[in-house]
Amino acid sequence: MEECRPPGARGSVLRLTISTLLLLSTTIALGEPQKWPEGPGKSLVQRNCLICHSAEIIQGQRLSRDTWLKEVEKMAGWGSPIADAEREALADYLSQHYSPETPLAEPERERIKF
Amino acid sequence: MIDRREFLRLGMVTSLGLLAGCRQSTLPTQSRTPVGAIDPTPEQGFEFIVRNRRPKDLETPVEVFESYLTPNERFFVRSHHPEPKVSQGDWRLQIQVGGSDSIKLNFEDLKAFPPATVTAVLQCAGNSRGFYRPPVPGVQWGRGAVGNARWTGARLADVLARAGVGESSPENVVVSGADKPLMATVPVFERSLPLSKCLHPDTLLAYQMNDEPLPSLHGGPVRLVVPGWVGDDWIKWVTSIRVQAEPSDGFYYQKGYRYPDIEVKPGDSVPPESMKPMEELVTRSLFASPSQGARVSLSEPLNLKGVSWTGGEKTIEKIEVSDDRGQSWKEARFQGEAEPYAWRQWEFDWHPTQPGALTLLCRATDSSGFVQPVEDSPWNPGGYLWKSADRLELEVQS
Repeated sequence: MEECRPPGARGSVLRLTISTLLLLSTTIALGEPQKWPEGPGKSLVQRNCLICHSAEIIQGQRLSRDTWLKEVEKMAGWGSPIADAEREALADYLSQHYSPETPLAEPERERIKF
Repeated sequence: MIDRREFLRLGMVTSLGLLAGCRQSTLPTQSRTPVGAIDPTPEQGFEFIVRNRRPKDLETPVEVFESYLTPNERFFVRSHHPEPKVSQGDWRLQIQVGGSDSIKLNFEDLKAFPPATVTAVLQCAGNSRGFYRPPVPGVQWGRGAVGNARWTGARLADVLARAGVGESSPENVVVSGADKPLMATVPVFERSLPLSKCLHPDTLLAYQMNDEPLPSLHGGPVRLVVPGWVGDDWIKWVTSIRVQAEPSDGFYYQKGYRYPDIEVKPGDSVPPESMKPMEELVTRSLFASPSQGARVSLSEPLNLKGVSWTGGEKTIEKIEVSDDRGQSWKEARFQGEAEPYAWRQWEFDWHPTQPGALTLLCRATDSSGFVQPVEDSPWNPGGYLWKSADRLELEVQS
């Protein structure tokens, strides 16, 4: 995010950016049609995944726990603010609700105006 | 303390301010909505299968492929990062060759080059990723991350020549766009292409799509058009080209969008040197009509319609349909004339012979002799290049 960064303030600005992005993700996520199953991982998804993604790309996947964990770790490496201690819990939640055994509904269509 | 409404207001203001300050998608199935019911009110937009809302990954319903050219407002969208808004007036392209000074072009400069037009298929490398088992992470595309359009623009070779680039120049062309990740820690999207493909007369810096200004969601004002090659090389919102000795060291070239050159079993660890960048599209065919799950009458013949395309400089030679799980095949009729890089439409008159659930198959044969297999495509870690015969589930009613 080169354009947002004042000279010599990368660290603080990056932190500010992440906190603002958290607000952004929560704000946008609340305005998006979606349902997340209740559980200890629900807020982890909302706080750590929805910064960059909307619900569809997460809820449309059916992955094993190992694969979910690898995805979580990949995203952490790319800047998701998830704490080290929360990664296993997030993988638990995702694999509990979005595993290869979880039925996948026919995708909804939606009108999109360019 | 702030209440929820105030929190939302503050959040939106802060978020919009941030974005402004930075300038800146069991098996997937198709809906059963009949063709005639999907666009009665075009001012409200057109129906997509939303694979990801933010950033946008939008899949085209297959019945749209009854049209030879896929309309701009119905063409699939793949995004790596949020859509940047770049006007024609603001657009600049910087070209750097080796360690020399760069040159900069604006939109009028680009329009001044002799225009060229190519009708070509654009397909996401991960189209039909959702069919792989076990499932692979990524956008779970069904059949519709593909489309066929008329692209008009300047030949990339002409533009590169303005910067002094020719056959003896460094062999890696690194192209990137105005789209930026939300966080500086997320890799930017850039790709390396071989110089030879960039100097091919059909490779374009396109500013028109189906004779209209290139829509922003499709990479307007200017995107790369690489006919016959997979979509990840069709960089959107192109703003930077570097011609250099080494390929891009970025994630999306060194790790992303790679396909194994060895047989891989699910769970296998693939040696990095066996993961190669994808280039040519694979040969495919799709049923466009009737829709998946359609109920058809035993007493009436059915006119099946579809499309088929291939990659590189190859051509589609034959389309066949099977109603007995691939034991026997009958040839379909092509519609229209063949154009290089474009898809071919086809039709087939089928007569149901018994009631009940049935799966039809279609397969293409290309000019290299490749015939689409009935079996699932080879599993690969990225879920790329699905190339199996298409399947159409029908319910025949007496």
